[in-house]
This record gives sequence, structure tokens and C-alpha cells, in this order.
Amino acid sequence: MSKISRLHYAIGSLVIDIPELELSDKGVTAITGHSGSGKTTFFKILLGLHQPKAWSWNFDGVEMAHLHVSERQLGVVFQSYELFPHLTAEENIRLIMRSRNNVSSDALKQLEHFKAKLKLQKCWLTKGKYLSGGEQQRVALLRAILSSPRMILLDEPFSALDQALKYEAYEIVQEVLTEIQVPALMITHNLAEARLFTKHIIEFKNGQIQ
Amino acid sequence: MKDRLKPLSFLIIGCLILFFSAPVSVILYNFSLNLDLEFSDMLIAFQNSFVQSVITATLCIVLSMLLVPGLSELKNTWIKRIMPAALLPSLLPSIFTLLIVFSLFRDFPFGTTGIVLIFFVTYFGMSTLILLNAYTALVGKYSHLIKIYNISLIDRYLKIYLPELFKDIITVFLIIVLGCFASLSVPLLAGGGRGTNVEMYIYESVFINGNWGTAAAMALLQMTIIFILGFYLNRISYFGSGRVDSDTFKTKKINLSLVFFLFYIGFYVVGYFYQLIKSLTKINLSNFYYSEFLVSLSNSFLLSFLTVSVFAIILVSLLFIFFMQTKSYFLIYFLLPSTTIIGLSLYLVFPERAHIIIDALKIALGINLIYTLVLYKSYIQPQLINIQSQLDVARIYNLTFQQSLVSVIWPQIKSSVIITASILSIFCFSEFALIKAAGSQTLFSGIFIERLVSSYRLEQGFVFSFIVLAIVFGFFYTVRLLSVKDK
Amino acid sequence: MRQFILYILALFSILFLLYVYRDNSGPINDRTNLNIYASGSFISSWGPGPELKNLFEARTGIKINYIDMSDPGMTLQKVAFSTEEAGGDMLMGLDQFDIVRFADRVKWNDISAINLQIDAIKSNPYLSEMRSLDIFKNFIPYNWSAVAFVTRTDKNYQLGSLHDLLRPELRSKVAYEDPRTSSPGLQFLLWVARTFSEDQAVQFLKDINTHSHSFSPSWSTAYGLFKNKSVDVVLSYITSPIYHLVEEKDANYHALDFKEGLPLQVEFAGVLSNCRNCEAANKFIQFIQSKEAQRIIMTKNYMLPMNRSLTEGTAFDTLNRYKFLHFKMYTKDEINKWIRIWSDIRKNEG
Repeated sequence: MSKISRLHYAIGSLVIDIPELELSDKGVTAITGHSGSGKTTFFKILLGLHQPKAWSWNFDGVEMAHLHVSERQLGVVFQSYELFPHLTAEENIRLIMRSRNNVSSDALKQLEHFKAKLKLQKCWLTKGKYLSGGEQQRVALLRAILSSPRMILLDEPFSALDQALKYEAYEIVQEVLTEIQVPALMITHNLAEARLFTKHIIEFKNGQIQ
Repeated sequence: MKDRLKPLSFLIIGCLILFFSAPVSVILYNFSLNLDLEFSDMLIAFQNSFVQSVITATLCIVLSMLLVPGLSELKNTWIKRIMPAALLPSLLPSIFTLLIVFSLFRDFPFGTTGIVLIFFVTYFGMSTLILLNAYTALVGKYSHLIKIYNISLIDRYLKIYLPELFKDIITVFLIIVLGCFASLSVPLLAGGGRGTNVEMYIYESVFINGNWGTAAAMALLQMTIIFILGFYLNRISYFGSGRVDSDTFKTKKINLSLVFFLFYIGFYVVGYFYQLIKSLTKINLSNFYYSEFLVSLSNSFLLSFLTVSVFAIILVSLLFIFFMQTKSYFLIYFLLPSTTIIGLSLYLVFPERAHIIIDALKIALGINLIYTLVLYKSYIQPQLINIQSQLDVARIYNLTFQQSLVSVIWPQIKSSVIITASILSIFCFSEFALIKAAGSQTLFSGIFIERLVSSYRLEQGFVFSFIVLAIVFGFFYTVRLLSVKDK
Repeated sequence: MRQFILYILALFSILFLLYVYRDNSGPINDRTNLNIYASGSFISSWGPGPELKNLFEARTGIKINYIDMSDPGMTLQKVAFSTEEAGGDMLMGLDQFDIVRFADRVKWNDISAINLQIDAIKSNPYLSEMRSLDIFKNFIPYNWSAVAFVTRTDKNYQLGSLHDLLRPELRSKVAYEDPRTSSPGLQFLLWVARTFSEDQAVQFLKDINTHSHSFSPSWSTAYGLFKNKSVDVVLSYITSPIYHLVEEKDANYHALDFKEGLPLQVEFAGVLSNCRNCEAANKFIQFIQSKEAQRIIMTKNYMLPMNRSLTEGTAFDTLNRYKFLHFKMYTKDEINKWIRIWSDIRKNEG
């Protein structure tokens, strides 16, 4: 388990107030809630993009709240994927692997394995700006996986996909997340979607946990 | 929550503050601040400068904003190549603009109207290009929505364009106001009776009364006003965000905006070429001072190289600060008002007789002091804001600044940086006021042309300025072509 | 990135070494080099500077280094800041206004003993007042001209006095220079002050202010308007038409002779008291007063030589028919007073 304590953060008219929260260190935890409930703000706090004062996030004995964003060793899939548009799918991934020093032969094997699993062979040499929504999503996910994360955070990873693609994506993402055995935190406003992935669902409302 | 590189970013900010405030500091160190100002004179000077500059800036921005949405929809690549010609009035010596405009009027409207007219011709092209750049980076993505939902003109401007581009508009406004404040020749020449403005007041203090303390006080006052104004205005929230694939929205070959803008460019370019052809018919090509010209050209290339090098250092520093997300927006408002102050401060710091490279470095520093922040704010910062979320990803994935600079930032701002470097280089070839004030003894092409113009040889000056422009534009067009591989 | 940092380090190391070993520290008495402040147009290849330099170097073996002088006032301010190892030895191109307004910012050597122009000055009735001045203690005149209105001959303006400038047909047709920023402009201002009573002069200036085409910050801008045919008449020098005649083979320009007489502009040279090579400076002062040097200055600078006989047989000879005002040395207070009056007129009119 990782434990969050004394989280209090105000942004605009929203106030995130979480006295205590435990996140599973296995499988997927889903965060749901309506728009404006504070899910994305909470997401950014965990990533380190917002810096509340005097809170605590203990992950496996590591005090994450004190770490800079680049030291938290997290993987991320944003809602808009945020690939580097001028780099190919391959370059997007290899860049992150290098920066996280994940270039061992095992890592390279893992790269080939998940590249096939996520069906990225055809678009492997295509620049980010020319990839379809589904391809971008899978590249962003592979990038997160190969960043040797202690946790993967996904913000509405399926919202940009059409219905047909979504079901295919659910299956692939479930498989991959199960295989890598890294805890994941998924933000979604779709409760049904959340239930597909996990029983651990946390509901946000007005910046607080219900 | 300490980031070990954060202190470095503060150090860099400190260095930049020292650098950009150095000219006034040097002057104040050498001369006592003299606030013995004639307030009635100063008030009239400020009033004149203020009225002239605000009207010009407002006119430029309003007309630019009317044209920019249309210009952003144009897809012809030849348009992109012609656009830089709109910068000519702000790059060439003001005497050329004065002659071109005067030749069009039988009865030139002297007074505030005349001053505003000449300033408008000088700055309109620049303001349109800067705002077009910002618009394309920040607003272009809405153009489909605007058409689909048939959003009204008023709503477009009030609800979308102005909020998104507010900071860029303010920047352009301040650049034009400052440029007008710093002009001596235009208000004197075109002002009719109202021939007193702030720069004239500084000129009188320095050249006539030798009162450098007063000049420094006036420059400090101008800088402070601009700084406070810019700082305050910058605190207003920034609304825009998101990446734009600008090519998606380019659908038109020609539209009304293009026609008007080409009319503006054409007016100046035709006027310039008319003067050029007239000059060519009057000069004797066998007696053309070729060796001096070549010497000045090669010296200016050296100056250009050093200027771009200094610019590169400042740019990397600014990019580092941006990457580290250190609050530093106030830096952009270190807009220095007076070439004379900068020139004299350089003269006081550097030896008067020095090796050509030291001389060129002195001027390179001066050119960067005057132009770098303005160009960064106009051309580079909008692109950086556009990729801010990508930099978040880079930070999350532990990319170092170096890796982010090479792999993420540079490929996406390369074009803007090359444009900025090109503009700086063009200033290296046309600048003379700064070089004279700094007491440089090296012959640069701007000085060479100014000497011609100052000694009955206006026609030779015109012809040489054209040759210099052609060489410089050609050189940088080639560089741009070679470096920009794909779109 | 590493390459970039190395490149920057290398560049600035080279610059630092160049700065440390800069060519700026010769011996105090460097007898082989002479540093002269002069204007850009003087030292350009079309000016008299290069020929004077070649001739002087051939005669004396002393090398001349010209230092481009942007503006006499600013240059003298800078000289006042210079240390001994940085400054020039002498300065050329000061007119009588610069001497009054700026020369006291630095100290000058006494060069009265090498003034060779006494006879020439004595023989020029317009320079008679100059003889009684103690200006010659520190400054030597080496050329002169007169400020005049220049027009195109085909325009056929028959103007004979200052009052004619206010003729209706000349409205917006005459380009002037602003007295605050330009020497010919200041000449005009004081010309008016000298010709009329104070009240009449102020009124005349107010009328000119509204009647003129423009007041340019510099001679080059005003002359540019004239060459561009934006105006028909320009305030310039009587030697301007000679330039067009000789260099451009264009005889369509002439300077107007006014019955009040045309005011004189005299240029002086002086030796700075912190000169490193004072001996060479004195030699150069003597040199520019020689006939050969005076001819070079006349034909390249388009200014008249102190010895008027040198104009005989040249295009400059035609200028001897003009009527001039006697040379006058204004005081600083007089100049400042009239500039103040002019500033007030410019502030309040229009």
C-alpha cells in the first residue's frame, strides 16, 4: 500500500482536501468523479506538477512528497498523450528509456515484446503528429511501461478513442498492466470503465473522497 | 522538495538582471544621478512622446489584429517568403523610410499626424508579423470551430482572440511605444511645431549640456515605467494553451487580409526600389569605394557571428529558466530605452582602441542588450508556451535540461530561433547609432552607409544598403532552407 | 550541448586573451604614431583624411591613426574620461560653436607658436575679428565655409534676403536643420539673431517654424529631402553646388546670396594636453596649414582654404563673389539663450 496523508491544496475555487488515503500497490486503482471534482488536480499533485505544502505520500518507505517531479520515477499517460510530435514512435520511447537509464538487454527485449503486443510495428517509424488517436495512446502507454516506473498514472486514457477502438484498447491495456505488475492509478469519469479494470474505485467529489 | 538545479536557475536570472541593467548602472556609477529636471519641459516632452507613441501603437495593433486571422489561413509558401519584407521599415535606417514617405505626399501632414504616419509605416509590418506568429501558435486551432459555429466577429475578437493574445498584444504595444520614445529624427522632422519629445530631452542633456546625470535619470525613469507597466500587465492570467498544427488551418490562396498586407509591403518595397533605381542612375560605378565596402561587409559578418553567439548564450539561459519553471517573466520587461546610454556605457567599460574582435564583441553585447529580449518575447516565447505540456512530460520522465533542449525544445523552436538570429544579424549590418555612441573604431557596414549619407552620397548609401540587404537575406534564407528539413 | 559549451568557452578564452594582450599599451612617448580624432566623412576614402595621411607619412615617417569622432561634444566627453594610454593626440573638425560649448571639457596645448595662418587671416576681411581672439592659443583654423540656402537652378527662385524665405510660394518648400541637433541649424538661428532685433528675430523664427517644410535633426536628412525633390530649397553650405558640379558633373545647383551676408563656419584643430606624441601633433598642425594640405582639404572636404588665393583657377573661385558676415565668436550664454528661445517656439507651436 502507498499512503497519502494531510493533502490540502487550493487551486481556483477547488480545494483538494484528503486527510488520508491508501492506494493499492498492486493492480489498478481507479479514481472517478464528475468534471471539476478534482481528479486531474489530484493526478498532477501525484506527478509533482503541483506542490502542496506539508503533505505526505509514502510509497514503499519512500517519501514521495519530498521528491522532485523527475525523481518520483512515475510513468504517465495524459489524456492528450503528449507525445513529442516531431519524433517517431520509436524515438519517443527510446528517448525516455535513455533518460530513465533503462537500456539493458532485458529492457530491449521488453521493448520488442510490448511493441508486438501493442501492435505498434506498422507505425513504429511514424512521427508522433501523424499517428492516429489509438496509436498515440498505445505509444504513450509503451513509453510509460518502459520508463521503469514504480507506478503508472493514466488520465482518461480512453476518452479520445471511438467506441469500437475503446473495447480493443481496454483489452490490450488490461493485459499489459497485468503483465508488468506495476501498480496503476487510472482517472476516469466513466464508472463502468473503471469497473472493467478494478474493484478499487475511489470517488472524488468537490476535491474530497467519498 | 529541493531541486539541486533550482539555485542555478536563480543564479542565471541574477546574471541576466545584471547584464540587462548594466548600461544604466555603469552610467550611474560614473555620473551622479541628476534630478535637476525642468519639470515643465519634461512634462511637455513626455506628453508629446506619449501621445505619438500610444496612437501609433494602438493603430498598428488594431490594424494588425484585423489582418492576422486572415493571414493565418494562407497556405502559399511564397507568402511566407515575402512576409519578412514587412520588417524592412523597422530594419533600415529611418532616413530611408522618411524619404520614401515624403516622396508620396505633395502636402505632407506635419504634426502629430505626420509623426504617427511615419511611425506606423515603420512598425506596422513588425507588429503584424509578431501577432501573426502568436496567433498561429495560440489561436489557430479555433479557426475551424469559429467557422463551424459561425461565431460573430465581435465574439471572435472579444472572447477568443484578445484573451488568448493579450500578453502578446501588450508586448507589441510596449515595443512600439519604446521605439517611438527612442526616436529622435522622426518627431523632429515630421513633427512640425511639436519638435520636443523625450529622446530630444535626453539629447539636449547629453550633447548640448553634457549633463549625463540627467540623461541617466531620464533613461532610468523610462525603463522603470515600462518595467512596472509590463510587470503589472503580465500578471494577468494567461488563457491560451495547446498545440497547434498550423498547416491544418491554411486553406486559402488569397484573401482580403493578404491584399491589404501586400499593399503595405508593396508601398514600401516599391518606394524603396524607386529610390534605389533613381540612385543607380546617378552614381558612377567606377568610383564606388569597393574596398571600403568589402572591408565593412566582412567586419559586419564578424559582428554578426559574435552577436549570434552572445544571443545563443542568453537564449540557452532563458530556455533553462523556462525549463526549470522559475518565475522570471519580469525579465522580459527589461526593455532598454536609449541607444545613447547603452553606447556610452559600453564605451566606458571597453577600451576605445582595441583589437577588432573586442570591438565587435562590444557592439555584439550592445545589440543583444537592445534587441534580444524583445525578439525572444515576440518569436520564441509563444512557441515555448505551446510545448509546455511536453516539457512537463520531459520533467516527469527525468530528461535532463540538455536532453530536453536537444530532443524536445530545439526541433520545435528551430524556425523561430533562426528567424530571431537572422533579424539580429540584419541589425548588425544596419546599426550605426549604437556603434558611434560606443566609440567603436571598426568600420561596419552601417557606419559605412551612414558616412556616405552624411557626405552628399545618399545615392551610394541607398545602393550599398540594398547590396547589404540582398547578401544578408540571401545568406540567411539559404541557412534556413538548409536547416529546416520538414514541415 | 557539450560541444556548445566547449565552443563558448573557447570563444571567450580567445577573446579574453585578446583583451589581455590588446594593442593598446604603447610607450608614453610613442614618436612613430599619431592618433587623430576626426569625423567619419573626413577619414573615409572619399574624404581628405587618406591623402593627408599618405602625404604626411611620406614626409615625416610618422604613422597616422584616425579615430572616428561621432560628435565633437560626445567625443570631448569621452576624451575627458580617457586615460593617457587610451586617448588621441589631437582633434580636428571643431567649429566655433563646439569650441565655445564643449572645448572646456578637456585641456589643450598651447599651439599659438605654430599658427601659420596669421597672414591668410589678416588678408581675409571677413575673418578680421578672429585676430583679436585668444582662440589661437589652443586652436588653429584649417578650413572654412559659409552657410547658405541651396536650390536647383531650374526652379529659378530669386531670393535675396532672409525675409524672402517667408514668401508664400516657398511655404513647405524649404528644409532646415534643427539648431539643437545640427551645426548649420544653429548657424541659421544665430544668423537670424544677429540680423534682427530680438523681438523681430523671435517673430521671424515663429513664422519660419510654421512656414518651413521641416527641421531635420541633421544636415544629411535635410539634404536628402532636397536631393529627393521633397523640397526645393535646403539650408546647407555655399560649397554644396561645387560638389555636384565636380563629382556629379551637374551644374543645376546654386547657393543663394543674401544681402545680409552669409554666416561663416570655420573648422579648427587642436592638440590635447594628454597627447602621447605631442611633437607629431604639432607637426601635423603645421602640415595642414601647408599649401598642399590645404588643396587636398579644399578638393576633398569641399570647404574653403584659409589662404583664399588657393581657390584661383578652381571651381571654388566662383564663391569669392559672395557676401559674408564677419566671423563672430558667440558666448555660451548667447548660444544657450537662443537655443532656449528656439526650444520654446518648437514646444508651443504646431
